[in-house]
Amino acid sequence: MFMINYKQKITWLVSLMMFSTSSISYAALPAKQKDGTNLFEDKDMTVVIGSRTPEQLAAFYTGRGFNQASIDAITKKCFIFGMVDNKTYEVLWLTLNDWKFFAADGSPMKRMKKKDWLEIWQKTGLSQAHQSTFGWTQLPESRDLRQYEHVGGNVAVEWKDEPFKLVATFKTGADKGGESRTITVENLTCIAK
Amino acid sequence: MHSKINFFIILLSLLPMQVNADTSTPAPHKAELPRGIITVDGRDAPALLLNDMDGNTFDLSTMRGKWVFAHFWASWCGPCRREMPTIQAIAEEFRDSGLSIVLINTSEDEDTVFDFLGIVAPDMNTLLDSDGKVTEQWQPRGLPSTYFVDPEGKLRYIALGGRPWNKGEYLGFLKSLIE
Repeated sequence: MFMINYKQKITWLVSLMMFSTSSISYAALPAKQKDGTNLFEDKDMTVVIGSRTPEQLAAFYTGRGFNQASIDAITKKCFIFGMVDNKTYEVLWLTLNDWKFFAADGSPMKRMKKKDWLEIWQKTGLSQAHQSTFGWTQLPESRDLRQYEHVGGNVAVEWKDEPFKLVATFKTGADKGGESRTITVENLTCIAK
Repeated sequence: MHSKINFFIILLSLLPMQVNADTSTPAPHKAELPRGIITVDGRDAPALLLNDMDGNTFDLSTMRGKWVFAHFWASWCGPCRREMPTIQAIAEEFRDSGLSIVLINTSEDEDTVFDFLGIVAPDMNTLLDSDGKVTEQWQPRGLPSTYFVDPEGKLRYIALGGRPWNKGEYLGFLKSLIE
């Protein structure tokens, strides 16, 4: 009987330890700002999410010399910008595959990836230099943000007339084994011309 | 038997604390680096063979024996605009020193680069990576990005984003490389 109690204690202790060292998730809703952007900020990280207007996109890429066919292709997509600051974590992961966009009916929305843009640039004849510039204005697919590192850029999704939702999860730790943070941004919109 | 079990429990209890302690203690070298500068694993720097605005060719492989401050930038990037004057401010100080400052413009045409530098940092020259392919080989974490290549041609540090190079700890870091 005594041994059984000790075994139970050990099992309980081991279970508790395993639980205590596994990932802990925090979920949060950002605050809507006067300029329409969504701000999440705490002592560990800052995230800003918002929509780009077609005018902003056209002005920027026209100013960089993009051809009209490419501008037209860009402004047909829905561009969301994101800025992330890692304020304390040793490593905070920005991984776009952990950013899920959901339409009003709950269905997942297609996110544009590099290969999707390459297919478009082949049709529009965008030069290599401009493809490179475009790439630098997008959020990276994955980035291990170090302490005090900032990243900002755009991510494009298929156009939706109705508001949609972003659920963005950020893992932490070099091996992604630390706590994870999830931010849900409601009522994002694609801004029409 | 009881003492063995007690020992096992104590050992198990200590394990997670050890792991946490190890991961939260910064390595000594990290504490000495200014904020936003991180160490790299010392792999060979990628090739860097480009012409500058005057048509002169720069080849990184000829820079053995010196540290190289390789700075990737573009005129449309806000932090690049803020950082560039601080690089111009240190350029004179490190001229003919053991630290060579090299700028690499990413994917822009000569007119754009001339217009930008003429206003923001008129004393600076830059290499022109007109199609952006060299920049992509270096895989910077964004623009701007600054790599520090050691005298053996190995990548040693990266500066994350724009940094005020002419200020206190950053200037001290640059000087420490060649002391």
